[in-house]
Amino acid sequence: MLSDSDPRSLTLAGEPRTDPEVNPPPGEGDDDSLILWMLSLSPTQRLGVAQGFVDSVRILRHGSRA
Amino acid sequence: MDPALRFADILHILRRHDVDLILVGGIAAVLEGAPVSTFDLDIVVSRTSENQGRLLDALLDLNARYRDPAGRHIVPDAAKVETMRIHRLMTDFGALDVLETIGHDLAYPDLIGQTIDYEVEGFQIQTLRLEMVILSKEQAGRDKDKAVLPILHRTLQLKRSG
Repeated sequence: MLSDSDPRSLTLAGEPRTDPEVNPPPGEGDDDSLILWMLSLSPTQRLGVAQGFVDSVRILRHGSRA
Repeated sequence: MDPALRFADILHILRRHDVDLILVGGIAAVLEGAPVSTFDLDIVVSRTSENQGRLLDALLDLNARYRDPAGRHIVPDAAKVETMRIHRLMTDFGALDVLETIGHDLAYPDLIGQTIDYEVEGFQIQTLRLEMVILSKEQAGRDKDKAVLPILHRTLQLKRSG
């Protein structure tokens, strides 16, 4: 069991990761938590999230930072 | 290898040249709070001759060239900016689509009253409201547009519920 302070216990959105065995199946609730997290960010931070996604894919494709 | 996409750098150069534009598409949805991903920047521009001149200057500054499937090196010029309705470009900072209209012929004058100004990295950017992003994607009707509609609708619901 991971402690709350362990980064592996957090989702991409920085939210506590819960035990998948007691999670409901993926559905609307999953999207809601991500949307609410995005809405909590500033516009610059939101753009940074989109930029981070692009950068991550680029790193995965090319194996190095752009 | 394609250039690394840098959304803010493209926007910054467009703003530096005072291009009258509205940010639309996926990045507009992102700024409105939708957790969606995209690999290009879409803008609708004013079609005045003055703005076309500023746009061309910005595109040259961005080292823009058309994304030509045949691999030819074709760059924007005054005639193309004046006559073409869609410019699908690659720049030194990634892909940029410059559009005259979105959806069912919604042009800059139709959209300008449906925007919100966001400050991004120190500059203002006119961004299409999420309601209109949804409408434009519904009207476009392409599979890739339809695919993101559920999360855009849900984002709008959550924004409205406060």
